[in-house]
Amino acid sequence: MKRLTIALIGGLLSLNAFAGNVANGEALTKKYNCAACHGADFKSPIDPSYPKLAGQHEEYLAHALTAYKRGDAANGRANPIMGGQVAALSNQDIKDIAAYLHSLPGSLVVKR
Amino acid sequence: MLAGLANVAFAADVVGNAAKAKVEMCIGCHGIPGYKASFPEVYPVPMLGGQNAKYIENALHAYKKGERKHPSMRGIAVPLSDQEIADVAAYYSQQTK
Repeated sequence: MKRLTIALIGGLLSLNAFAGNVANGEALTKKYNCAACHGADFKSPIDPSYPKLAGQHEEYLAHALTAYKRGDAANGRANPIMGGQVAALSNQDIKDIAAYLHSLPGSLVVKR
Repeated sequence: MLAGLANVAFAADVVGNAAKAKVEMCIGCHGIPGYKASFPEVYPVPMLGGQNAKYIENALHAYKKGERKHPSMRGIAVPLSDQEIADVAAYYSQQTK
């Protein structure tokens, strides 16, 4: 039993703490029609007031989606459009979408 | 009224030194590859280089107004003027790979 417990803990630790499913994320972005605003390649939004998402950090994207879901509450983002888009998403949906968007080739950079 | 409109027209044009000075407040987090925010949640801060200027502007205004609740970004955005926000947004939007 002890050995099994150790094995289980080891297995949990080896899992990516942040495990999004890219394929399911792609399906979800199609279902919710994210590309209609953020662009077919997710780096060419249809309006400059919308962000480029392709290649953005996975955990940040998940944080942002979660914040939109919280809405006008602590650590939230009050945004009518995105609030409506994310309302039906589960936490796993959010992780999957974040994983997919992060996996796409993007044009964002980190520079001073 | 006309003078006001003229100022708006210039909003995103001023990039040079003013933007450079103001991004001193940004680079401590957004200029460090892999840098993570630690409060109230832990995650890598977003990449800003190459992002749409209008989006960055809107985000900073949303932090300033409190529509986005993030405490650190609120603290950064509140003292910024509209001109400074436009400058910072223009600065980051022009970065490329």
